[in-house]
Amino acid sequence: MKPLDGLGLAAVAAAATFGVVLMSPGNMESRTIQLDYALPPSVVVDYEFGEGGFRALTEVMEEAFGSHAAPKLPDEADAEGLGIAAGQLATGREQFRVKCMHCHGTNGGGDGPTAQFLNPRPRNFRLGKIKFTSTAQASPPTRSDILFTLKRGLAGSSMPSFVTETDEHLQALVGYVQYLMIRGEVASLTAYELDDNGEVEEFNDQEISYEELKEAAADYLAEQVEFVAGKWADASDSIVIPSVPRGPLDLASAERGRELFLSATTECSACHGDTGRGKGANVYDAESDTYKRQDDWGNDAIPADLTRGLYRGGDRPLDLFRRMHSGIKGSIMPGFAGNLSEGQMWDVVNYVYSLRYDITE
Amino acid sequence: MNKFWIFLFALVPLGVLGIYFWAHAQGGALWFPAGISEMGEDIDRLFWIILGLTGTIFFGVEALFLWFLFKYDGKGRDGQAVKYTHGNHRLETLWTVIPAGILVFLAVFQFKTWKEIKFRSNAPDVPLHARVTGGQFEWRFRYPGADGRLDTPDDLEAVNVLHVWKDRDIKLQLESRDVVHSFFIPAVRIKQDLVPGMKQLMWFKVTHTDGQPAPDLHEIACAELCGWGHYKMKGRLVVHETEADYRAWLTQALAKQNADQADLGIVE
Repeated sequence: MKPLDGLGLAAVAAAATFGVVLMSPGNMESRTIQLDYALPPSVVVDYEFGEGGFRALTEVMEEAFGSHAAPKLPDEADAEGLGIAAGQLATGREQFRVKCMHCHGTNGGGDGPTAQFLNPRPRNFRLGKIKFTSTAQASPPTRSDILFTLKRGLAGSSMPSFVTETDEHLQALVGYVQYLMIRGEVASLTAYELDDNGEVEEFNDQEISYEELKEAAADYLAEQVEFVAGKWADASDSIVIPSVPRGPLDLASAERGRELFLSATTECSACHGDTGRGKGANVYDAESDTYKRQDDWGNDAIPADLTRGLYRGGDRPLDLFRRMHSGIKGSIMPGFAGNLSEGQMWDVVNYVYSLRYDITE
Repeated sequence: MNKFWIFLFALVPLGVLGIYFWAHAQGGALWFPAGISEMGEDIDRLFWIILGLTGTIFFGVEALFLWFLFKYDGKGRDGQAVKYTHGNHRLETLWTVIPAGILVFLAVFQFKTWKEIKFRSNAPDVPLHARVTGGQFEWRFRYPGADGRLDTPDDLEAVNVLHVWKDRDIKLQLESRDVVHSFFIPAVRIKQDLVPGMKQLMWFKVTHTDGQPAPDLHEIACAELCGWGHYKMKGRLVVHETEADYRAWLTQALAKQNADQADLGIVE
């Protein structure tokens, strides 16, 4: 054998070994935990946590929520109130890895391998919110809301329908998504408390020990779990159901809706444009072909083109009413529950349908 | 030639045969589900004829090949050089004419079936049952409401679940939202590509559902690799026994969709 062949062979062997080591489950797990276990990247960026604060937070998060391989709900969270049955997290995690992970990422950060090819981007669950819910503006989604999205998909986005999956798998997925969202929000809030109350700074100045820092982190975390999980358990109390019926989809109703759409009360047209095609002056700069505002996830806030008839949050009249009532969470679309009566919101809904359908006949 | 190599080459046809019988024994899971449509028998007949022809030729060629390997293995030639020959008009004519004849036979033989299931002039004269919109990675179905027309406010929209009824010509319009997909209902034995920018028609009639464990087990699949989520693009076909059953479902589904003072969930 020529020396070059020997070298080449050695190089191949080395590369293969490196690949195997890199891809081995143990290594994947630890890399995940180091880089993004439970902590939204903003935590690391926003607060000057240093090694100690980050380690304390990661450790208490893992004690409360389990590791990536063995997720669990913290003791302070009321699993029954949340509707998460025993064993659902394990099944949900498995299903998530098969069906969701390649877009939504291992930890639900919306950063899976296919995420970069998608527009709109897959949801990052760690902010603790999703856009389309049946609940009031300040409330998290209910289990049914997540199930609705799983079964119906988000029309016009890359989120497909999973309606043909078994009920057991879907329910488990709902539970796991709840878990990811609660975990993400608790991590952010705990980090905020640690920063705001000065424990991290005290540790960095060597005024308190690591054990004291971790204890403080655990206390804040327990409080936040109670707060966040409580909010989730109460979500079904704030489901939006109109008390006024919709009324027929006729010209009179659509005309009333159109006036509201163009009025200064709602400013619908400022974002959706006078003709409902999106690209309103408030959000879109025609000269540079760019959008001026971003949603909570840092993506461009692009108002819907209402003439296309693609309604991400569902195309039932009730879905459109809820968009009017509570807005789209995390986006710049506000809720109008405070400004408009239910009858007026139905008129706007009817106007929106009239942009898609010919109702003059 | 070493006999070991002959054995290795023989593994190919034997393996193919083994896979065939094994898959067949698995039934619906790996082989075709039982046909439920009018044209199913015709399609199956064509399938078996073509499989029989290609199978016979494949095994014939393999047998010949293995026999040559065995017979002329280079032993007993006492070190003589191999003699090469080139060209044999009679043989070449033979192996051109026979396959050409087979192809012509298939082209003519399948034409009636193809005409019946694919020619637009042969489409049943019934109103559209629904519009199928394929998109990465789901099927959206839009059914006309009471007015019998699509794209009016009384339409029903559902995802991944197609409802039809028995003994009725079902005509579908197929559109793609993004890339080429292929709408395939294996139990109905029909498959049609969806081409972006074009409106395709497809029609079928379910004639029997006997022997099916449950009506919703008829799978709908995408049969054209359409992107990374291609495998997720599956739905199900629900066959109602009578038109009355179907209408009852449609009424209930529309009530579900249009409820304005209660959340009745999604149409499945």
